[in-house]
Parts: sequence; C-alpha cells; structure tokens
Amino acid sequence: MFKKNLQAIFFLIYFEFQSTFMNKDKAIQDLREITNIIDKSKRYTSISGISVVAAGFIALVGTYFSLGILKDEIGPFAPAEKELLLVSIAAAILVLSLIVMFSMSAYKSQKTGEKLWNEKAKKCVSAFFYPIATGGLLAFMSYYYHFYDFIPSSQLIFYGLACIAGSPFSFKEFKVLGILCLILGVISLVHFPYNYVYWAAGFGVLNIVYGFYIHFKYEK
Amino acid sequence: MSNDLLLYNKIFENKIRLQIMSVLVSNDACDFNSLKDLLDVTDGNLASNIKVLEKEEYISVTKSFVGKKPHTLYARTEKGIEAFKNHLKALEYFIKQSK
Repeated sequence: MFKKNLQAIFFLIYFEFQSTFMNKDKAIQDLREITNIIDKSKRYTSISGISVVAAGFIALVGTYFSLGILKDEIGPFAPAEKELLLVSIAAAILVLSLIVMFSMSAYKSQKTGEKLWNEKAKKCVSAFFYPIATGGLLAFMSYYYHFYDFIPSSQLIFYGLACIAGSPFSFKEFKVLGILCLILGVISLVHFPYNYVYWAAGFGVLNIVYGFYIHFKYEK
Repeated sequence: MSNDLLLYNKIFENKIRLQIMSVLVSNDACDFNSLKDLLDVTDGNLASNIKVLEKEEYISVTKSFVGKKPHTLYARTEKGIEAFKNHLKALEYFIKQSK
C-alpha cells in the first residue's frame, strides 16, 4: 500500500513537470478521438453510392413513362384503365431499385470485406424500416381507396423521415437528404396538382446528387 | 484518487493504438482493411501498431482465407478491455484534476 502511494507521488511529480506530455487538453482531445472513432465504426457503410444514383435514374425514367401515359389527361388524375399500368410502373421502380441497391451493395461489401448483413446492417435497416413501412402501407391504402392525390407527397415525407432515422446508423449525409425530401414533400402538399414534379425531384434528382456525393466522398 | 494516475497506460499514448482499441472495444471484431479505412492510415503504420497491441495481449488475431485472399480478424481480449477501461479512468482523472 505504502509502496503504491509512493509510486503515485512519483507519478504526480513526473506528470506535473512534463505538462506537455499529459494535461487536461490532451486528455479531452483523446476522449474526443475515442468517441469519434467509435461513432464512425458503428455506421453501416456498405450501401453503394452508385446504386443510389441508379435508383434515382430509375425513378426519373419511371416518371417519364408515367407522364407519357398521362399526357392526354388534364392534370395528374388517371382514368381507371390506365391505373393498372401506372401502378405497374410504380411497382417496377420499387423492385428494380431494390434489386440494384441490394446487388451493388453486395458487390461493394465483397470488395471492402465487410459482411453485407451484420449487426450494423440490422440496426440501419430497422431504423429505416418503420417510417418506410408506414409510408408503404399508406400508399397501398390510398391506392385501395382510389385516393391518389397525396401519394407522391406522402412517399416523399416518409422517405425523408426514414433517411433522417437511418442517418445515425449509416452515412451521416442521409440526414441532409432526408430533410430535403421532407421539405419537398411538404411543399408538394401545398402545390399538389404538380406533386409528381416534386416526387421526381426528390426520388430522382436528389438521389442522384446524393449518390454521387457518397461515391466520390467515400468510394473513390 | 491519485491512484488513478497509475492507470495511465503508455501503450495508449499513441493516437492510432488508442483508436484501434476504441474500435475493438465497441465492436465484436474488425478486419485489417476496415480498420485501415476507419483510421485512415497506411498499411505499415497500422500493422506496426497492431503488433504492439498484440504483443501486450490486448487484442487477439484470427487468420483465415476468404477465397484465396488472406483475411485477418482482430478482436479485443479481456486484458485489453481492462487496460482500456483503466486508461479511461486515468484520462478522467486528468480532466477532473485540472479543473
């Protein structure tokens, strides 16, 4: 006990004299270093930036086809016979985007050595899941009751919420994407006869810009 | 209180070793390339610091093959966790002491 105390006193003297070696600032800086790297290591980064770009293009192509189908109609209100075609396009956009994102992320994870499905992926997906599933259900019920007007707006809003919820578990830039989609969604509610334009801007243009940003920042 | 000073670990004085240990304490395991990306350091720098931690038995190393590529997985050891916790106590002491 005595020996240990003596040792402590020597240490104290040693540290006092060598204040550049260890002081409050250095200790705070070290702790900051620790929290930063832990935060970084907890994020799921196997999501491929290029696949987000691809999903954006798919959304734009889908919008282009939908507008082609609707071009003889006044406003975005579809007659019954064109309904099925439009729903098929929407479903195709969703399925194609998911396939592209899944396969390209699998390729990326193979290259980086991170497992595609791990604890981090689980947390990330479950954060995304609840807002996305709620938005999906809302869109489905709107379709079921033939109440289409607010589908694009609600999809933007729920996608925005999902991105914000997922951002602590993946790229932090998801938060900005989410907020921008949320804003577009809210504006499109006010401006709703043209909400498909906002939908294309959010799911198309924003995803493309964001995907390239992720690609050049993290995947170069 | 001053005994916390003794917990200061010179191994963790190096920023890279401190970061490696932080990652491994908060994650179950991590491979070489992920560590390299996270810390943004060169191969040689990372390897030499890993070797120091390995020698202290703060981390364990598991080597395997994925296809034809060697895949090295690093994980913390009980001794490593203990050392890291103690080091944190020392850092805490430094901050409190000089208020």
